[in-house]
Amino acid sequence: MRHIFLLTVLILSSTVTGWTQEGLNIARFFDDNFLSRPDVTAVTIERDKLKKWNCDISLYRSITLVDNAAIAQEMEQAVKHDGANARERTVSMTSGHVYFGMYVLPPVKRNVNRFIIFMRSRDKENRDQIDNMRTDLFYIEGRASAEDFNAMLRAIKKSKKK
Amino acid sequence: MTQEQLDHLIQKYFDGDTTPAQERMLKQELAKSTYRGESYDEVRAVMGYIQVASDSVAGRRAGGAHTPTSRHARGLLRAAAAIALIAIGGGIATMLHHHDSVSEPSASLGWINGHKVESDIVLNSMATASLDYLATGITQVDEAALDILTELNDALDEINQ
Repeated sequence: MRHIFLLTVLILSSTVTGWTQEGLNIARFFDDNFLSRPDVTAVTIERDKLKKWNCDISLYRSITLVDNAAIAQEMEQAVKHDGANARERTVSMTSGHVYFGMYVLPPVKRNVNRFIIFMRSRDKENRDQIDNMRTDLFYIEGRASAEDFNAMLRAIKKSKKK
Repeated sequence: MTQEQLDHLIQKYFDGDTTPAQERMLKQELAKSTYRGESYDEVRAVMGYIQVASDSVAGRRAGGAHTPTSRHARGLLRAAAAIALIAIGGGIATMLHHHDSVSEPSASLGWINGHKVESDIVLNSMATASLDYLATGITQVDEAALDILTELNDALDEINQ
């Protein structure tokens, strides 16, 4: 009987994947209905496939929205709401708008950090203005700290330069 | 096989990524008494149930007599059936739960302008491209912050002069 219980737990735990984005305002942008829009490019990568980055990340999700000011504004609002409870944040603003925001949310699972990163392109001619050509939203989960994640980005940048 | 290799193979087994040859190798390794501990016993139990259940079906097909051993096997088969029912029930419950909640990623996948993408190579290249863009963006943010600090510093210098 103990084995039956054990196997049941194993099966159920494998079907319930870690996705603790529920309850966040940004969750609606990761819905298939939104992701299948013609102005969106998105990617979701889980667990083993993330090993090559040498950073302890279990879930990586990114959305790139092109030339859609109204939805970019909705994203910004959602990010601001979710970021209000962040443990750590790095935010850069121009003309009252966030053009870069990195938020480390309180973990909902033991030792699993959650990151939200929001980035908008700025007008090349006037750096105080937002350019709606491109808006990126990232949601990342893992044991990696903000420092680990930044180190990974630096490594990516360095390898690209070579 | 080292313990680390065995652990990796067990992980692959539960992820459903093992080939039949790897599963045979795993069973052979677990049959050895070298690997001790509750976690290995649990894996043996899980693999044992699956093996015994399939053996008993094969035995019945061959018209075997109802020996104590086959009765034991039938008992285990019933246990396996119970496990399957629980698993199906759990799966349905999980599906219903997911239906009510926010969309949950079931696997790695991507979308490019309305088209679904599942190729690992494409997904990896998309993720690398987006991370590279992010890395560039963060560098620009740092540079912009440095520009502001430099401007402030210059302004303070002017005031002081």
